[in-house]
Amino acid sequence: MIIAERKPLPEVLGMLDASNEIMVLGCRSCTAICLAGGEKESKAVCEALALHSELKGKDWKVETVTVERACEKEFLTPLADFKGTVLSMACGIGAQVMQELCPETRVVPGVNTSNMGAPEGMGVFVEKCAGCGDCILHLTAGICPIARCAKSLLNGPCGGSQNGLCEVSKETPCAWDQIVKALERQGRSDLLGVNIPPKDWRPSRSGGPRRIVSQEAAPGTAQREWRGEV
Amino acid sequence: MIVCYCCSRSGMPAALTALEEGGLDDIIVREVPCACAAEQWEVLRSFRHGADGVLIVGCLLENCAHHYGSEVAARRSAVLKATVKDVGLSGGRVAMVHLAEHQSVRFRKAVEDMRAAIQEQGGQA
Amino acid sequence: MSVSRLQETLNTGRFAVTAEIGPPRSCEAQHLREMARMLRGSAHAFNLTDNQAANVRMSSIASSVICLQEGLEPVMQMTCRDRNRIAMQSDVIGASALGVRNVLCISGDHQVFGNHPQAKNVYDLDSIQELMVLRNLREGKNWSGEALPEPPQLYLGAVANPFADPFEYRVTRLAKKVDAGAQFVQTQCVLDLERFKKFMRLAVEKGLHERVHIIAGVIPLRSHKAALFMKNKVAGMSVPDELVDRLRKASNPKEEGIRMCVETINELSSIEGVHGVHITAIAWEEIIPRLVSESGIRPS
Repeated sequence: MIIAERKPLPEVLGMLDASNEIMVLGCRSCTAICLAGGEKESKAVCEALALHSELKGKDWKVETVTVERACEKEFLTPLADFKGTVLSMACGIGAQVMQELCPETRVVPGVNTSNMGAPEGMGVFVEKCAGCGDCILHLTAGICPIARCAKSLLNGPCGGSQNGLCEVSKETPCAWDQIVKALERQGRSDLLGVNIPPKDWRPSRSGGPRRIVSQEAAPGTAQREWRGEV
Repeated sequence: MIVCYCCSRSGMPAALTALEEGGLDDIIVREVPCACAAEQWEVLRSFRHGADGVLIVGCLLENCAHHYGSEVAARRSAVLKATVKDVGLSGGRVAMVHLAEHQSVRFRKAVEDMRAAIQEQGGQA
Repeated sequence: MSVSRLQETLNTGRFAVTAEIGPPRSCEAQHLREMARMLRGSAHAFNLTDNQAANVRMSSIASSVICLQEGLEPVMQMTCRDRNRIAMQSDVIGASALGVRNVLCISGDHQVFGNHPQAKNVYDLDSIQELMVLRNLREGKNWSGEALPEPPQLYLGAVANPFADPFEYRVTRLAKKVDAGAQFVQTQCVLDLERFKKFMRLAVEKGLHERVHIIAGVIPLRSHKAALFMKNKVAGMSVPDELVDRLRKASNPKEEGIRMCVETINELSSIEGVHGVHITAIAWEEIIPRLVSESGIRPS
């Protein structure tokens, strides 16, 4: 899932200065799970903004709406007529989809979208996938070196790995230490003997913003005509 | 006006005893099953509904009836302190106190501390 | 056919000496030249580090060329942190055209350690892939397969760290570097001789000493504080407590440090598979001539 963190309130207040009507838009999917922008968090931000407005005489009219999934237009269309500022508590994707839906409305980000990861435990979220577009988890015992190695090494570990920890931080496990041990556990140490050659980064963000088209699902002419999209 | 979110196990008994002893006309007591049941948004909303300060009253950390609810509330109150500060009030307007059901004195002290914090910023206690 | 003095020394079975020079932080070329002149003759080749610890310094390629001009043979270092495969191949072709032959391929310290932690890192390749790409260049093709009318002449090196974890895997990783094209390897500074000897035994068992020349790293320590710094603050280092104590108890720690370094050099030169010594004396380069003389390894 997508991991995001609430933006510091002072930064958000700075974005809203010239606003009158504000909608705090929450999302029940990823940002709810990582406790950044779900219904509860959005209500809290809504209350904080309303209180601020009262204290400072800003005359803001603040409301909050939480949708199922902000990244899919269908869930946002009921809000398309809103004429104010949208403070998105959804991830950067949801914020942009909302913006596309209401081109004249100002949409500002209430969270810092960080990475693709998973909960490690209550309230702790760890990066797992870098979206490189060319998955090699079968070579690395299910541990991604692009995302979880600070240097994205494909033939690690580097010389900074000590006691199973990455040189960058004592809180970061060395992904290659984990990979080496996992491959041994799985009886696939043979994979360690093979050097992985330089990566083709074209399928990653490096190759440009990606557009993936499903062969079966993307409509052709007949379908588009019937749907009135042509 | 000080709104006190008091947990059923410890906060309420302590608050009720203190109320009987008198001198607490400026507080409103709201019962919650556990201190962590007081959500961020409702604590913040209290300020717009007349509260000058909000006290969250929960069990002693090692003795929470719900094991760790009091601890969650403590962490939340730290976040709330920062939030109220960011929007323009002093951080002292939100506080948490941990006590046992018979510690009405501790409750009273927490109210007095809150009054002082409110006075400092120039609000009405 | 040797392309460099370092390669020739190692291939003819002589004990090689290399030493490290840290390039200046700005355009202090004159200072670099003076250091080069002071060090000339103390080693067969001199490493010019590449923005070490992710601090911006004069580039390794420029420093290497300045050293060449002063009669030193450089070992140009190239990390994977700041350059992609395009820049790496380009810089190596340029370096070779200017006379640089020895190139050391390393991952590079993460930028979080340096004076520009906000920078975006590159890591298009890792050090093993860098070896593959540069070996390819030497053999006449760039990585996209285009033939090069005049390929660079290169002697390729890598680093080995017997003191990082997991220990058992370090020898396997050395073998991987050799497979990828490493012709010589310089190790992290040896302060923990026992662990290093263990590593060398495993390497020799695998026959790696016959496929690659292993050059053991040494570092003179000036004080017990320097030893403690190495122990606690530098990633991938193993410093035994006895070493720290010896320096702490010494009446003249500097002299003791020099003595200890000479002892280490002598011990290392008798270990099977060790074909040379690499001296790191950052901010104390002036001690290098004395170290090589007192340990008897000064190139003739």
